[in-house]
Amino acid sequence: MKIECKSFQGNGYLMSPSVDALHKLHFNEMGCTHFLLFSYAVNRDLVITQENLPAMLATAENLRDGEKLYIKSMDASVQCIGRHVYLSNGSAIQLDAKASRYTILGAAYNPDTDTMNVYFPNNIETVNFAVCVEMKYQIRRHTVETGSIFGIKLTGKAGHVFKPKQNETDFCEVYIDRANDYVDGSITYRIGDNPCVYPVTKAMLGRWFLIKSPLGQKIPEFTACDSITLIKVESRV
Amino acid sequence: MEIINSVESLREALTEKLDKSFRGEITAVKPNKPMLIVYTGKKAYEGKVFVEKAMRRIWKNKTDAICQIMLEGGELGESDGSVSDCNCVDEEKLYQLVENMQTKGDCFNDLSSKIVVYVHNAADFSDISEFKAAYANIINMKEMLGGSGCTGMSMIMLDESFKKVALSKEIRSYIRDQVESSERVSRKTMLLSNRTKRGELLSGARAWENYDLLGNLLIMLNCSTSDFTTTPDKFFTNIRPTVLTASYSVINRPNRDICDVIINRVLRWLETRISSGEKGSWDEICKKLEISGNTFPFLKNYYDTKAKTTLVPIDKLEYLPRMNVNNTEPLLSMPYNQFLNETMGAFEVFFKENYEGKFSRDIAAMGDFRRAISDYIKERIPAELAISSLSEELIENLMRGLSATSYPETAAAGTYIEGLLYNTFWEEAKEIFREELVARKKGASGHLGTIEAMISAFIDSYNPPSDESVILYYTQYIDQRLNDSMGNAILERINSVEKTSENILTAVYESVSNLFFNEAIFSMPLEKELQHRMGSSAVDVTNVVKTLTDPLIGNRRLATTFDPDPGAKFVMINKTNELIPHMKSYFGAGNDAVFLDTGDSNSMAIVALYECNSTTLL
Repeated sequence: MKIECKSFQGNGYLMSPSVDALHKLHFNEMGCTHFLLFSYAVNRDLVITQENLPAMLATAENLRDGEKLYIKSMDASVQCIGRHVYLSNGSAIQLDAKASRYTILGAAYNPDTDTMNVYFPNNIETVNFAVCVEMKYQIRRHTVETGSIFGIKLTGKAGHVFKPKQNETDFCEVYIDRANDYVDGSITYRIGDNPCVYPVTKAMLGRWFLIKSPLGQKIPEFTACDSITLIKVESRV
Repeated sequence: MEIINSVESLREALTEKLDKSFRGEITAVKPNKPMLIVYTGKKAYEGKVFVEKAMRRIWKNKTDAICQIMLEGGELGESDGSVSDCNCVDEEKLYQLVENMQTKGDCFNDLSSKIVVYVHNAADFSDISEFKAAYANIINMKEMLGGSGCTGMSMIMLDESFKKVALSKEIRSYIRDQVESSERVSRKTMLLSNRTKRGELLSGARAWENYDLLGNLLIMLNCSTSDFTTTPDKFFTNIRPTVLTASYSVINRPNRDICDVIINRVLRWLETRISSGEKGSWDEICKKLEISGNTFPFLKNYYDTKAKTTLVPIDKLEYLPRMNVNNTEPLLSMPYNQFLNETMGAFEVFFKENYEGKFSRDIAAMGDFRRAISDYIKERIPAELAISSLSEELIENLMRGLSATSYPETAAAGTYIEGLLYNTFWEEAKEIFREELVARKKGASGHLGTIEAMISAFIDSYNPPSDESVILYYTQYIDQRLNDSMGNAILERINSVEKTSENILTAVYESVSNLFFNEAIFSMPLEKELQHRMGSSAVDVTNVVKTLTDPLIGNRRLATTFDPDPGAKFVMINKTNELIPHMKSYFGAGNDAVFLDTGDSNSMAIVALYECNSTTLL
């Protein structure tokens, strides 16, 4: 199958993609027999142009089967969705409920010439979108008990007299909710004036972990890529 | 120092350097009277540079005060440069030029009268009538410039090559008529032909020899009586009009030939030395680069002082996350494998983002490193060693030998990561090191190519000296010096600079100049150099004198059926020349030889004058 790229035409286009709360993708289209849905990691960009697309899809032989194909040269997946699937889903495409970035392009297949004509908008950014997920996190100053004598915790009356004292340390404890298909580095943090950006990995989710954060400095700041809405909640402990 | 950018300029610079070292400074010698030299055509004017060079040998910068112009088709012109630059000179401008001379009291002894010299070259005229017009022009000029206060002389360069011989014959015939004529155009006329008495045609480099002779004649014509032992005017002040010719014999110190032999030998030595440099062993290359085992101090030092400073300091890794909420011990102190586990994959992501490929992504840092390692290699691996030893195989082995150091994962994380960072740098720098080794070999080969091109250029313009003794003596001499220390000195100079042809030629120039300064043979005046070169016993001083005087008759610049009346001789020689007493004795008492001190030990010459009559000029 040949891939040919064309600029939007009056009888062939796809524009204004939007995702609803149920992760359904809606858009305006005209004259499309297929929809090319590219999905890629939240922490990266995918540059698709009329010039590079045919080469990118050169290895995708079974594109029209509708399976999701991983294209190594793009480090992205592409799925060619037929119009009947789109229509049967109420003129929408169901997306996975996970953070991801997408680009969607409308296309018209011509069986006579075995050519897939892909319609390109003037600005590719208009057909890029992301599925956002919310992630909650907690952060608190790490403390150690100092009310012990020679390391032995006192109990009973002695314990009452020498009630353990919670002393803050140069560390913070952090908890971030678990998330499916989380990509390492989608959430990062900074410490005070330190210019370095530290990554949060999937292994750090759903558990408490420790970060060095000297006393007297602001607690670490967490930020996330645009497909994750990071919400700070009060520590529950 | 002059720019040496070609083999020709090297040859000129060295010859000039040698010439100059034998040119003494004669002070207070200046032309006697203001002199106007008029060249009556382009060909004649082309000889101006040789005339000037001869005059400058004696009069130095006072020569500049002499006015020289060109007359072509009745138009006068003045030029400081080439013939084509000639500007028209009108009558007013001419007066101004002549008057200018008369304001230069420090340049002339006697400002009361002037000398006008016309220089004609037969090659400038298409027929005899053109010549006659130019020849007669001197009358107008003399009148314009003061009549009786102005003496004149016509110098005619005859072109007796086959092409122009007909016109030259007509000129000779016309001049012969003038000798007998009662209405003479010029009282004094000098005929100088490019065909000598013995029939030799002066061509090639010798084609301009008559202009050199002309310059010497002008010195005699216009020298101050106080400068010389006798008054040369006597040759030119006869009441009766005179037609003269001259003969010229010269022995030069063979400076140009010496320089040719030296340059030839030095370039060939360099070519041989570089192309067949001794093959360096693996150990020698490693030693020169200071590589021992897999340690390369240059690289480690560069990493520590330059590359590392651009990286995120390792202590910032303490801010990575810790899995164990009770672990507040320094992360970098724990074993590396525990550190990896403790940081839950964050270190790997952080490493990828901040360290991996950091160096190769930094174009400026890469450029700095490339320059540094390139300089280091050039400094350590001489060109000849690079050509002979830096084979692909050796470079590959060198790379393999310099494998990165590995640390056990049980080592402290700080130590392990320091090693990891260095290894990362090394992996990225290694490729540049390899490229620069290859470039060194290629560059050095290019260096060989540059020398080969120079030799080729030199050979194209090289005429082996006619005197074989010069070739034999200086070849042996310079080969010995090259194999002693001079050769290595040149190589060192070359290796310390970029291998452009200009730098290589400059290195040769400096080394040979150094030789000129330090070695006795290059400070010997021509007579001593000759004796030294030939072996003192082989050179009989009488023979040298005869070598100079015997060719005079044959060298006479006019072939005639009847020999002209023999005239006087001028010996142009440095007054310190040890041959002077022998020459005086050879000439005998009462001879007409006048010894003119040139202060120049590069040459000695005799100019002999002959008076021609109508029979001689047949």
